Amino acid sequence: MEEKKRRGFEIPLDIVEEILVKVPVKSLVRLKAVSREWRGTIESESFVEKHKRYQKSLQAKIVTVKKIHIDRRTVRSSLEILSFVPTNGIVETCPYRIFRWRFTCSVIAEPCDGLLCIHKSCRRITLVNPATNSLRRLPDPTPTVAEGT
Amino acid sequence: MSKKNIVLKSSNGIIFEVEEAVALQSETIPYMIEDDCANDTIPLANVTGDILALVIEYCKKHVVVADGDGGGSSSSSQEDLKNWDAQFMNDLDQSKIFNLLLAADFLNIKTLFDLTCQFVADTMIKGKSVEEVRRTLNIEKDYTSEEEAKARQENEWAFK
Repeated sequence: MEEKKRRGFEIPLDIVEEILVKVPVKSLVRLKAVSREWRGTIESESFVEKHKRYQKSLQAKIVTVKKIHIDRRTVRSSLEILSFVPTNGIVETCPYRIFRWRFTCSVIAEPCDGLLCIHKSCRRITLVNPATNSLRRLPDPTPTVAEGT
Repeated sequence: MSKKNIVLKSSNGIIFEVEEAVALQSETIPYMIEDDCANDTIPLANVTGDILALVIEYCKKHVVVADGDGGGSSSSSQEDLKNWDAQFMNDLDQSKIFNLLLAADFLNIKTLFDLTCQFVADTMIKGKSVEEVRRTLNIEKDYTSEEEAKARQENEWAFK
């Protein structure tokens, strides 16, 4: 009882959730380390959906693939995130780590809810979530599918 | 048309008389009016006088603009209102902000609730360290040291 009093003010979790909806992804990912309760909230499906809906309403982001020449032989690609700010036009902001990987001539397919599908001639298909910095390589299509027979 | 007034009573017994349009920005108050006798004082058991005064100050400011521009409010008045909101929040200390947040939630005043949430998100959470957030929001660490280390490690990029 005494302990509770000393610790003072606590905001109920449903209100905390409303606050976290307005926090950018990078901070959210870090704040999963605050407590089990926060982690549970941040990773819950309903929260992810809510956060996505709110953040989508804010500003458009454009993702581009940029070729980086490491040396004469090695070319790498990196993802860059550009934000569209109504007053300033397009500004280069990269709040997340820049992805670098070996695929050259990769193509970004149509993005969906912030997820990108990057492939090279329909092979080496990788799903990327630039916001959480996670990346998942999908299995290559079986020969039958790839050859379209 | 004569303007109807509504009488609100804070938890510590302070009485506020406000125009109906001001009070009706709260979506909770109409239910209380229905439940009680409309002429009676509406008791707000969860809101203290100093916080209720702030809520009313906010609602008064926002009702004037909604009235005066008849929907097509000019961008300058929108801008003014935004500046006023920012100043309003900036003048409050942390304990007032938290109590205002709870009051806006209880009274169901959507714009004030959003404003307060945004302010807390921007000033107390965004870009802050895990320890700072725990301290500000009084959150007990329920992780074991290993679990916490794991949670940090998994998302190492976000700590840079």
